[in-house]
Amino acid sequence: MTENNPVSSSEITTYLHEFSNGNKKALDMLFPIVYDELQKGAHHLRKQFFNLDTFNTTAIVHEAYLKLIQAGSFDVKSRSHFFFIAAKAMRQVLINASLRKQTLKRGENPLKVEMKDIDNNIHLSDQTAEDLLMLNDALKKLEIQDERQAQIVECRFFGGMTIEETAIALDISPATVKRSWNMAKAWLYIELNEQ
Amino acid sequence: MNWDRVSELHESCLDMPSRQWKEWIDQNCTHEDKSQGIDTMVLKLLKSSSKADAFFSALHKNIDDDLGDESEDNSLKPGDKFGKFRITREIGHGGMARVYLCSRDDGQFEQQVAVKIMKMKGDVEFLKDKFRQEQQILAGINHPNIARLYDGGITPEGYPYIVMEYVEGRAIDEYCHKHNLPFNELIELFKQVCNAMQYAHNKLIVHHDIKPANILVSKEGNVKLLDFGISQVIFSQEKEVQKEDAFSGTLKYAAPEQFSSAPPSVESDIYKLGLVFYNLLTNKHYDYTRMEEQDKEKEILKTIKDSSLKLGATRGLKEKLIREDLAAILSRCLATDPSLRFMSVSELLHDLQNMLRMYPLHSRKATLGYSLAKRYLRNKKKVWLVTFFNLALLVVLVFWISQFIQTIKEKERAEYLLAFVFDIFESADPELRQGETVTVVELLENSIEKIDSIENRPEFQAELYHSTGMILTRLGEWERGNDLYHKALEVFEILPDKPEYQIDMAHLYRDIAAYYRNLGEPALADSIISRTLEIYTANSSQVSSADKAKAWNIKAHVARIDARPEEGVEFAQKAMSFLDQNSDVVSWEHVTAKANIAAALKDLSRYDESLQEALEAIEIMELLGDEINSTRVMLYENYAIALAQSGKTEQAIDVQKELVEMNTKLYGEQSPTTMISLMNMAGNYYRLNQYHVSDSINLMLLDVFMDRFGPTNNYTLSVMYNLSSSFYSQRKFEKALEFQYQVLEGDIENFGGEHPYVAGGYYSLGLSYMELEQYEKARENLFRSLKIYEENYGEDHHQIARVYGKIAELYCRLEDADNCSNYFDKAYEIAMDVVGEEHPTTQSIVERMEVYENFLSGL
Repeated sequence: MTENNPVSSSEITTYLHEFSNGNKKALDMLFPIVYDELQKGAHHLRKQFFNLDTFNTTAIVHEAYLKLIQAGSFDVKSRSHFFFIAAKAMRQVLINASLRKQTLKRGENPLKVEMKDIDNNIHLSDQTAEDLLMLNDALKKLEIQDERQAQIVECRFFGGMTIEETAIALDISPATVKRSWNMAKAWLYIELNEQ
Repeated sequence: MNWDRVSELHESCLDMPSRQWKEWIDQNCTHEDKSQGIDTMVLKLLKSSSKADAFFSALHKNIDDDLGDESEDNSLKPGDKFGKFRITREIGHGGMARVYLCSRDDGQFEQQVAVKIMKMKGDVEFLKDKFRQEQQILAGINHPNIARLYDGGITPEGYPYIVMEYVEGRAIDEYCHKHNLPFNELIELFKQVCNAMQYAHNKLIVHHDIKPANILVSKEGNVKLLDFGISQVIFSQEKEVQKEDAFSGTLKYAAPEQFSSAPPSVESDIYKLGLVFYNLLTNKHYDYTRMEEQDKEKEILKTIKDSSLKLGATRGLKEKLIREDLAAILSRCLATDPSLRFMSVSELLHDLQNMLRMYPLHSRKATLGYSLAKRYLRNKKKVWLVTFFNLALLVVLVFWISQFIQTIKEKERAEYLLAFVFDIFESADPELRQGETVTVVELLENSIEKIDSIENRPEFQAELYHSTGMILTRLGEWERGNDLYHKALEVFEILPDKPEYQIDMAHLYRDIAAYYRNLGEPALADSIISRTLEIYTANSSQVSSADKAKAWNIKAHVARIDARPEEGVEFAQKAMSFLDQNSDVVSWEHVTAKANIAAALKDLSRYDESLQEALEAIEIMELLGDEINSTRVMLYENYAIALAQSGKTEQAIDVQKELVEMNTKLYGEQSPTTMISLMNMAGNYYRLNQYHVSDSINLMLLDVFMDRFGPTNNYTLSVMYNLSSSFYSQRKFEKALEFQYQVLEGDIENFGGEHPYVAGGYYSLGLSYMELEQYEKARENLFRSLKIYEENYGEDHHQIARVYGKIAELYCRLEDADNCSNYFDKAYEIAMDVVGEEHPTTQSIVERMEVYENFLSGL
């Protein structure tokens, strides 16, 4: 997508400002760009860290941010909003990779997911893929119960965002983030284990 | 279920201790809450918190791991072609790469190689460049313990690959643990690893990824290191991006500084060698995080002890020392601070070598006990090396230079000599400057060759032979020192008959005299020092009074050991008189003179006076500062002897402990003077009836002295004498006799048949025969002893009293009551007269008299 329709850094900045000002449609514009960048980032970073024993989703998000947004041109709020989008995108990247893994394993024709959207660079183990898919299902349930808590999970877990960043992105107090994060994790854990 | 209500209750509980949750929830939940199960839910959420945390961090870690391990399926199957090779089978599979056994496909000749293909694509252009650069360096690696690298590059698909020597073998850890390898073989293997590393380091290549999986051992037991230098190609990519948290290498086999992204270095390789060695020895992975730096060595030692490590036939003290050495070596490899590790692999190898040969390690702080034990265990090793660190070497050189400066008569001469010294220093083994250890003796050996080649300036040549001889002498290389003295003498012979050369030659005679004095040849020493004094007298105006005093001091010392204590006092007083000519200057020669007087008075049994002189000497010495030098040592030695002779044995031992330390500092722990302090100390332990201590010291010393000086040397004889006394005291009389005869023979050879030492020898034989109830032999020997003592000391000497006492005892046993009481009376009378009632000799006579009293009265 980006290969064919390169989006300039200033365009992204504009979209992000719109998003920060409450224009939810800007999210639809930004999401695929960020999604794409995260996929590439995973591959790119891996090359740099060639022999890493640990690899960090947070690093990929940050890398994408640096790549897409002109350095220094952003306030903390917009940056947090970017991370919020990136967290959602990362969730999607990982879930798609998990789905791919599962469908390959079962030999099914992946009807639900179009192959071209599926990341080719990320390879998850069976266990991780299974855990992620289950987490995703539980997260969907949580979204119905309490959307805010689900967003906190996205930010904290998938986006690797700090409590501060999460608080700014969601416009709530850090204390609330902390408490809700605590409860959401516990709830998801119970949900996963009772299935 | 009311979600908000759950959140609210959950939130309230977060800040309270978990034990209060249940009660609080019970009190605060309404019936409606409870009917919905909200109370149960809240409690469940609270209790799940830590498990949830664990789950999420585990999942996070798994995701990270999976992202890091890009297992793109680029695997090859048997029969697949790879360049000019065909895949035989996969032989290895790691996170990063697969390794295949391949054979050449062109049918030209049989060649098996290992091909390692990375699982992930690299930046093709970058890697290609890198390979080109590095291949030249790597092609230079040609070592039997390093697998050859034949080729490397990028596959058409973009995967980096390496073609290397195929090594059939097991990973070293597997090999060692499976074969339950004996300690010696294990060390041999590890040394092979070290040798290979050292080779590469010398070529400025660090391995960077040393771990057991990279060290294979063939069926024949040969080590091959894999992947050498490859890391430099691979990891250089990462340097390009300058990531602060970039981390490479295998986590389990990483050096601490790598976590802070320090570049790969020799030090990090040494750390990893330490990890591998630790694993081989203990079959455990070393976890540095558990350990405080100062506890490391102890912890490691404990692990080694707990491990199943078999040290072969090694038992007891040797086993203990080897374990401790291993712990010391490991903790030095594994120091968190890279600068505290071995500076090079060769240094590590050196210490391994020291451990095996029972030399003290450089990695261990030398305590007296440690080095003593080492020397004892090394007894069959006849190498006498005085090893020093650079610093000590420098001290020797500074000393050397200062020797010259004392004798500077002209500027040209000073410059010549200093240049010469620096020349030797520069030409020394280049490793010297890398913190390697070199023996001073080796260094001096080097310098002797240079002195040999001096032409045109015989006067400098003579002086350099002389100085080098002095240093060798001080290092305990007496004979080689003496050789050089004689070389110097030869050169002096051909010098023109000028007074200044005459005086220089007299100085030389003085040192030669000291050599023969030390060797226990007082007659020769005396004739030589007399020549010195003749020349000094003839050129009196040009010789300093300090030099004259020095010569007289030697003469005094010689007289003393030649059993002429009165003369000893006289000559030492002469030395004092020369010194007093410069009455305002107090020098070490004063102390020496006083010490000589003290020693001679001690020989004359004038202990109170002797102690007085010794104390005065110590007082003067304190004025001169706390410099540790030969005079201080001699004084303390005599002081200790005087203390011991006055029966203050414990005090004497305390002084001797200090002496051993001083001597070690001054001459090195293996020097003869240090040995002599130990010998005297052993003597005092013997006096305290602590035979186990004295015997173990003496046996060690005997071995060293026999080897170094031969069986008739004074020191060898003294040790044998001490051992004989000890065995006698332990009632092992046959064994005592054995040593007593050896001592006697040696003493007769050295001092002639009329020397008091020989008297002592007969006396001892007499005692042993008496205990073995061979009374005729006992009588014979005791009377021989008596005769010699009388000739030397006259009637009034405590030794005479001692012999009389024993003769009395002998007659008692022979039931000759008259002679018995007669000789006891004589003994008692003399002892009271000479040394007084409190002296051990007197006490002992009285004690024996009491033992035989009943017997006497019964007759």
